[in-house]
Amino acid sequence: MSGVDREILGNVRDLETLMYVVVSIAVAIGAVPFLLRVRVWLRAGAGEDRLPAAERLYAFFRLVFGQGRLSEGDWAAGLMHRLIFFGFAGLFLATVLTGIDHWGGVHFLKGRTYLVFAFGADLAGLAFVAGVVWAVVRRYVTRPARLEYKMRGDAIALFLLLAVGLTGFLLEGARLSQAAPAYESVSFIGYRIGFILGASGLSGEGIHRVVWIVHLFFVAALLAVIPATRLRHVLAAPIAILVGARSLGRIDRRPIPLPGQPGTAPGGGPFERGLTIQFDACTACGRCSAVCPAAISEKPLSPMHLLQDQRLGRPVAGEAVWSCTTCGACEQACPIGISHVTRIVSLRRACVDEGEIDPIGARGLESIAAVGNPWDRSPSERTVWARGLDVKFLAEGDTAETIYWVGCAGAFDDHARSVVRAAVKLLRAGGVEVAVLGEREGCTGDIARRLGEEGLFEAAALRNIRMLRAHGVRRIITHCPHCMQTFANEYPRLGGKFEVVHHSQILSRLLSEGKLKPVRRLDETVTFHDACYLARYQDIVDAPREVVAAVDGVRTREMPRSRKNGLCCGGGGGLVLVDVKIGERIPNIRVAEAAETGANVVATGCPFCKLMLEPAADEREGAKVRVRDVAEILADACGV
Amino acid sequence: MVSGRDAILVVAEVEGDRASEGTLEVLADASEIGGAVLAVVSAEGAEPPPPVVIETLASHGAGRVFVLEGVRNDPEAECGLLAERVRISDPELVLASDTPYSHERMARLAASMHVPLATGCNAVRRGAEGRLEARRPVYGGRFYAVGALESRPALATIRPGAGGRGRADASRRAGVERIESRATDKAPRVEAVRRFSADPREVDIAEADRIVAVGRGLGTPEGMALARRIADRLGAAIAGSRPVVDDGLLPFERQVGQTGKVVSPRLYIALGISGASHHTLGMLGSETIVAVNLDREANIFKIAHLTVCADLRALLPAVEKALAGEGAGKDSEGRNVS
Repeated sequence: MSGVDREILGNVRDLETLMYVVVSIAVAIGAVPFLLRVRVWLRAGAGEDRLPAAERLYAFFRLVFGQGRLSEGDWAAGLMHRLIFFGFAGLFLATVLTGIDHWGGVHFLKGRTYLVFAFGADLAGLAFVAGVVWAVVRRYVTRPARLEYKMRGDAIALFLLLAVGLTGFLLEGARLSQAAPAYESVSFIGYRIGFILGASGLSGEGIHRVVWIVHLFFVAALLAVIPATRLRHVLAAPIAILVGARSLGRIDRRPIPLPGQPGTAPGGGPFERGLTIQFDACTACGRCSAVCPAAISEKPLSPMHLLQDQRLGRPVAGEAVWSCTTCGACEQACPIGISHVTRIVSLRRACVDEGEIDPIGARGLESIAAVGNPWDRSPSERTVWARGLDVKFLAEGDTAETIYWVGCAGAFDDHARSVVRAAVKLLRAGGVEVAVLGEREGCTGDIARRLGEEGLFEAAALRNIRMLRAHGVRRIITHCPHCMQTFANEYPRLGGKFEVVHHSQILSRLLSEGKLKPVRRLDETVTFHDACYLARYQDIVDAPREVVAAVDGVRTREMPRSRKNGLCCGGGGGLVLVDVKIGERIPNIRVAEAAETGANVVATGCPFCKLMLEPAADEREGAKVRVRDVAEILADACGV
Repeated sequence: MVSGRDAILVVAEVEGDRASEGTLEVLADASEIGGAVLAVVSAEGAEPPPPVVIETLASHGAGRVFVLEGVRNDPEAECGLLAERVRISDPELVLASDTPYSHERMARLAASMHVPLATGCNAVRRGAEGRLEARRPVYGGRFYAVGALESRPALATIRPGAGGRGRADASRRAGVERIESRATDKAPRVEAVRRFSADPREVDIAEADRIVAVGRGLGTPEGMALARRIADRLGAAIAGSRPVVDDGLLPFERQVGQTGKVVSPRLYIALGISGASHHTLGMLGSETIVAVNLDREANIFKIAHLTVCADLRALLPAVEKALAGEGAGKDSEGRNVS
């Protein structure tokens, strides 16, 4: 292997200084807008309820180097981005290695190492060029609907990426066209280009110098425009993840003024640091809006446009703000973990401060404040569901380690009362005795919080925490994913730490332990509709499916949008109270998707989903589908 | 002559040709506080109040009734006369039912006498040391505030329905004194032109006494027209469930349910409404619920007081005919449907 070597900058030794000068100028040009943005980032306050540092670091590696979410729902886009990302990373690494070799005092790019290096660099270059060509084709030829958002410099950025890749190969070819040793054929593309150049009489030092200068120019131009175009995400997205990543749907309580009011500046102003960096990190890829139930049902909300409007300091329409179900599909789809839900909830808080809230939503909030539930029902009705069940309700001074939390829907809505009854009967049959709070329960505040009434949420939460502590409660079982989210992920910040279990988790465990035995065969075809607050917010997707699958005779079907990519029923974010009268009804779309699987039963694990989907199923023309909680199905099968 | 000291003056209100329900409740309150009870009633336009009004006021405890005459629908003149009467009788307390009518009279009276007015009370009682105390709901009814009424005279209005009327004693009689407005050339600055009841077809369904609500089971333009005719016959407001509103058959203001208006009429007739939770959460407070549906399993039947399992398209024309034959009888049509 001796003799395998390459002289760096062999033919352009005299231009080396020019290279450093040009690149420095380009970096300086790019750095100015970037540093101005960094200053805005640094001035923003640190966000609340972010992931702990170690988890942010993990998210950083998973999303950046793992390209974690890029293929979800769009494998082609994921592959394209991987080609560009890993191609670029490979070329960048090659440049760094060359720099070390040249400046570091150790000449190691020789012999076998050089061959591997040369082959790898060409492979990276090929991947990069292929990815960029694919990107050009997507943006300008095939044009998937979600790529509609245009930004300044899109064409220039793509052109420069392509130009850098192609002139890079051309440069390599020009170098290798001049009597290259045979081992250089490991540069399997550059060598061939060199061969073609040589055969066409285009070899020679002059040509090589020209191509070198052109390539240098394109590289410099690319460096200069990165922070000014969509490409800035290569810098901002990793930082956004490191600085601001939060669990799905987590809410930052910092107040933000409404657009158009003092304090709102384009691209930053009153947002916390993570949200501010996200303005620079977002490439408007449109994945969020493609999965948003509001956007899908033609309501005036597109999370991508909302973020871009905020970035540019444009007003955001109230109708958009109030169309969100806080289902978190947008956040789940975002490759860089942008926090859309907290943005929207912040806007709602600002609206509520100004008294700009739908009167029906306001009525629900008043009712939560006055009687502890959003439906203005008397707390004394909270025990009605238990009629004939001989349930023990806790009185003042009683203690219970484990309680069953009924929730407002379970307490007041007939269709959810049957869920509580089924769950409690099953728990009993499985040997789990639970205490119930009855009239002492009050709304957990989920609806208040998502509707932007943070104060009411805190009041409700503190009241519940005090009450639960007074009864010595440590473990809460509930069938309501919304109650569960507040208990598990939002009460701890207010000092209430409880272990929270969804009824499907306990039921699935009792089944696997053999403590519950389905004895009756049910001849049904069931599709499971994932509640957003169960699947996406709590990561519970298997337990409810196991409950359904345990029933003899049941055939299960999956909807295309399922598990963590499920479509919301339309009832999240307080919209179970407020019917948004624009576009199609979300539950109608979802029930149609369910019916399409051939199922005659839609199983859920959330009372709000049941409340939303049931009327939609009733109103549907054609084959009838019924909506049932997994506990109701299992109770039938167990004959309790 | 009734002594002014410790007397309570009730400003009576006439509805149609009777003393209003609220007035009778206020009279009951006045009698409970104790002392002589006086009443003031205005002559509507040129007409003196019908004798039955005076008799009712008397049987509910008014010992003396002053009739303000010649006020020509001029609230300013009427209140001037009222203030004059109050100054002469010097009652300890002036009470009225809390209505739009008394809002104007009592406010003018308070202003002209430079005394405070306690509005929207649930009750006025004599508390410790014989002081008058007004109890009124605050913070959306979650708390009561009790305040001492220390002015002379004390002024308060009592919410209708807060206390209930007392027992009438037809043997009681009241002295009647007519008070004539002084003739004046000045044209009234304010004039009540006409009093009329709201058209049930126009009224906000949250305020309606009777509602005919249409659901998907009747959700066609023809079904809607039929329901409208029946509602008109019953003097009821028309409303509907969400699907009917979504189909454009009714405006959103007429949607009953959690995501629409919450209503609590005295009579709620649900035609072809299955009774999804979203709907029932908006009408559970209705006094009497009549449900007509073809589906025996309909959820609405669980909460209805009277259920009719029938085909609406066959039933409703018959009901319409029956109502047409019966004329103006109004109170029990809901029950007649069965």
